[in-house]
Amino acid sequence: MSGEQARLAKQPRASLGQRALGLLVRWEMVLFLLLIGVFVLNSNLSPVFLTQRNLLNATFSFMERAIMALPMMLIIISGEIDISVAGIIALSATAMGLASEAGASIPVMILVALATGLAAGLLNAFIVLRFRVPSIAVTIGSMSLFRGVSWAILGNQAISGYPRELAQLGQGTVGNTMIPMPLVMFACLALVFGIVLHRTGIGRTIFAIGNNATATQFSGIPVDRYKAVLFALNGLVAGFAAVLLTSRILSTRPNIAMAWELEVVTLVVLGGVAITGGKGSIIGVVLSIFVTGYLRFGLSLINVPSQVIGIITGLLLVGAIILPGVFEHYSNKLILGKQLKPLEPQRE
Amino acid sequence: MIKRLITVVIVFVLVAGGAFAAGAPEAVPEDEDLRIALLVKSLGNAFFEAARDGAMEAAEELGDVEIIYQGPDEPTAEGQIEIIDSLIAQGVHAIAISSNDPDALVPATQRAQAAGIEVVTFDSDIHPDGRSVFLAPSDDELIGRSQVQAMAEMIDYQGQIAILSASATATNQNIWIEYMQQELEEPEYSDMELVDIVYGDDLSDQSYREAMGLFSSYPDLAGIISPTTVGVAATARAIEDEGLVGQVQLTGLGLPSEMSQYVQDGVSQQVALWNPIELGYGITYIAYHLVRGNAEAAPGAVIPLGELGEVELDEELVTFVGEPFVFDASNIADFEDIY
Amino acid sequence: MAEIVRLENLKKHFPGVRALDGVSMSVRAGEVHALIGENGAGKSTLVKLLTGVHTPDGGRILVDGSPVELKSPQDAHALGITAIHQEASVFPNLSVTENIFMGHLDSSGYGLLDWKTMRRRTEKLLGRFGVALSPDARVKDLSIAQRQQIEIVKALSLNARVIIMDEPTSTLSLREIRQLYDLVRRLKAEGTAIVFISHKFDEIFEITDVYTVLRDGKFAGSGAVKDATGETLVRMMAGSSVGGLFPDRTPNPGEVALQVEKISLAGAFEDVSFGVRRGEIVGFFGLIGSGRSEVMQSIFGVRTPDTGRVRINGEDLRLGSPRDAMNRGLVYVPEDRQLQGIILDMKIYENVTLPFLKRVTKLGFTRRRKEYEITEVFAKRLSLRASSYAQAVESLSGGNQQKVVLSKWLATDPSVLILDEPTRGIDVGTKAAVHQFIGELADRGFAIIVVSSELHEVIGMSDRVLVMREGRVAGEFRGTETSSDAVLSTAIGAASEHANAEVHDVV
Repeated sequence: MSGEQARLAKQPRASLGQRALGLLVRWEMVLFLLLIGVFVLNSNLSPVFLTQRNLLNATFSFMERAIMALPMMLIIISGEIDISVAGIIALSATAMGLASEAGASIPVMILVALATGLAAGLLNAFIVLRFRVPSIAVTIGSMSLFRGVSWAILGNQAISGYPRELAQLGQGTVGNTMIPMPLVMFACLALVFGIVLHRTGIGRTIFAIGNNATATQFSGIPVDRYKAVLFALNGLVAGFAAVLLTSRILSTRPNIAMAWELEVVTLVVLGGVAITGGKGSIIGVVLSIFVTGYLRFGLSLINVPSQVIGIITGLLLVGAIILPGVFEHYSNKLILGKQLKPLEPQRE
Repeated sequence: MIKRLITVVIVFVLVAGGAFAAGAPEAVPEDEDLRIALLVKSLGNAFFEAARDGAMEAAEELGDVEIIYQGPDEPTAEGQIEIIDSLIAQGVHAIAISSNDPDALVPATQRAQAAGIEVVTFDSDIHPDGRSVFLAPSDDELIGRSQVQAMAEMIDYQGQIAILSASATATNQNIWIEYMQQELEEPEYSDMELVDIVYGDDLSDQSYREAMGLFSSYPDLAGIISPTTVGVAATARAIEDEGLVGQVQLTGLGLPSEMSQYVQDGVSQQVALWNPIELGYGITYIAYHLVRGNAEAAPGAVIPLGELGEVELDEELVTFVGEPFVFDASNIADFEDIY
Repeated sequence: MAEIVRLENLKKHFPGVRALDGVSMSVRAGEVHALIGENGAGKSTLVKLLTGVHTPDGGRILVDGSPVELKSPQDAHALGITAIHQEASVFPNLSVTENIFMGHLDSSGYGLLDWKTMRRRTEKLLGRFGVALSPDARVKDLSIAQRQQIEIVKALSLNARVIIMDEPTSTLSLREIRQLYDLVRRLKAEGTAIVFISHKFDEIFEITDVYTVLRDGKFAGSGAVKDATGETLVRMMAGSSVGGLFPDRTPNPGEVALQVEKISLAGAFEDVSFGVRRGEIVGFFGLIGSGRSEVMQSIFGVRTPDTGRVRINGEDLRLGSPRDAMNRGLVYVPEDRQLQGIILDMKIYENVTLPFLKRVTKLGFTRRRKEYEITEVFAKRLSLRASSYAQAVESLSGGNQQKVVLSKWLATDPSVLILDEPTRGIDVGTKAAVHQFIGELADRGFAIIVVSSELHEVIGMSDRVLVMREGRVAGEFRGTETSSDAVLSTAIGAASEHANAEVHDVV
């Protein structure tokens, strides 16, 4: 018995070949190969793609969405979704603009944007949890609400005249290097989110909630409180994205960040996060951010019309939902020889 | 997991830093073709496709020009910025922009200028800090005054008229209305009275209701000026639906594709609009001459625009192609398929 | 009786597992054939081969004497072989008629659906098998039992000759089970062959005619049910004679550990009071819907009772807070293991440490070594069988999954343990081990509540039995006065001769 137990207590063992195969057929590896494919393809199509300056500068245009993907990743893993993120960005940016017009200093403007985002996230949480409505329905509604408020305040007008110093945040680079400020912020946030998700009890609990919220609740964990925090965090980070975006374009219109919610969800789902919750990894999401970002950049370098880029993004979303599942199905078969799950409900 | 993340980052940086290439383009040699990008508000808009056709025409005449036609799929500033960044990366020689936001594009266009790219605007301007020349669709004063003149001829210089505008806050609309009011103060219009200004917010159904409201409030109304493409089409429909053709005259800024039938049926004797083909044509010439050094972006400078003759830049480096183009029953059918 | 299906020396491998190794079986018309075996013995694999979900690696399947290849469930359907699944795959928003004809709709010849004919045929089918349902009823308004009947009728409408029922009674009430037996008897009389998979000996003896026992993927025995006893079947299943299923113990109750005072929850239960002492096992019996699980969940705090109070070791519990209950040493092992007890996609050690993550983290960071240590203590104590603690719980057998749930709760160091259906869906061998373990816990001073709908389990395990009926405590039995008859008739509120029919002493 003790021999058996000693064996059990070890880390999961597999032959070297199996382990190598296991690593190879992970979804993250597929994304990594995709990223290399995007680089090879783009550098062949355009001579200017593979330059340090261009690769770094290109990140300016997708870092706000990349940052939004981080809390969205947590929400989707927990089995919920927030479609209203782009609406929150519009609302937070509007609030920030009003603060700027009222003569607020930059730190105050940033606080106003963050507070507005946080409040919007809390409103989502309140409706979802208090009235037990599916989050997809609630946040589709609140998406229109947040953007609608922004329209009502701004109409066809734009708020501009932000102080020049604000630009350093969203347009600046670090010191004398060419490294964009938003890229550095994203890297820091991704590290924090990754550690929280994969290394802490909080992350473990988020996975547990997404896999089986009932059993998690029956384990004495305040599931609703966790979800509320996730929605609030999503709002807060959306507020931060609004600050970065405003700093980058120094202007606020009600239509900013239009349709970004779908792009953010695409990034997360393409990263291998199950849309049904309970599964995902930070590496997958980070890889999918750069795959999509550089794919778009590469395509626009050869002047592919933006509608075609839109079609490709749409295909990615559909593929992102189907592929990881199909992929896992076959990779399990390949490595573990696991019995495939039957399609009909079965006992045992 | 963390170790893997670090590995990915390192590999990524290595790949990214693996190659270095040229930064900003140098002065353009005579024998090199120019690449001029036409960056529009959004793709899939007939107006801008007509402008592209004009640009192509100019490119053909000039011979050594390649036109890149681009725009975001949603009319947003972010979308345009993303494209400007890719144009900078490609090292085009000039970017001609019809912008979605006068301020938001400035940082991006300044980056382009810093990279040696000539930035000009047409149709919809950005802040002068971020461009050299702006080719306006037409002169604001000309637009305002010419519409009053057209209306006056239709109603024999007498009777009540009203204006159906887009939104109360739209800058260009308000400027035009101001010039209309100034024109109406001239003595020859003493028998004409501007009774109301209403706003349809550039929404078709709301403009239609506002037109209906005008008919019932002012039974003796002789004419409506609607300086917006949505408003003029909705008003034409309202006039036709109410059987007021010939009784209430209509003019304004209208797209031939939308107004052709109404003009041919006599609902409106004429509408005007600047010609996007001329805009695209003209801005291509301007960009070309600026890059080639044939012209200077300075107040008073004169730039030749091929078939369109010459234009002179004003104090703010703004110029315009000409008077709004007038469409009436005789010519509108020729344009309805174009824009 | 005519043989419909014959399985000869069937073999099936999955990588690393020999799921089925040389099993033969004969299914005859008008016969109810019990398929018995512990979890993992190969019953499900056999069913999947028979219904075309998997194809065998060796051996043959003969239908009406000629060999067939079943490559898909459609092939099996075409030959009249259908399985009724536990979670009946019905369309909740459609009517009974629509559900029955879904997949083989009648049309009147113009491409239009002929609902009139279909409705008439549904009425006839329902009448023929004594199913009292309207053809127009919406399926979402029906009970699980009624949905199951619809599945069976649907199979019959497809001219099924062999119907496989996989633990059909596990979620049914006593009355519904009775109705199912009636239906099975009618099918039998019409010459349908039925393969009946069950863990419960009472129903095997009640309804089946012949049996086949599987053990570790191999054939372990078969014969006529009337010649078999519970003991012989258990021996075939387990491979050797197992001792008594219930531990012999001398109860030695200490002071009161759990005191429940007049708790009520509208629509579920009313005015429930009882106490449990240290070292005591209190059994809770009641029919489905009697409110027993709701009472337990209210004590634990996943539901919040409207009134009443609960005290643990003399201290008041904050109602509606599972965390407070846990902190005070009360835990609840839920009845629905897969829904409430474990997280299938997560690893064994992750499941075990979920309720007390604070204890295994440092500055919020999880420490796998610590988690393994704790998991190991309880896995050892419960003889958990797994290849690694990092194995996903999903890949464990039902019994081992239950051990994970027990480990998780025991690791919180509780003093009061509520076990709701602790042995549901577990094979016989593991059941005995779980019972033994519960007895040991009580001897070590735990206060234990066992909720079960298996009468012999409640009676065999408990020092004291409380019976619930319609949301109230209807009776209490202790020691020698506890008889199956008395407990059951209290639970259903009827005369005892009715009760007799329900109970078969098992071992």
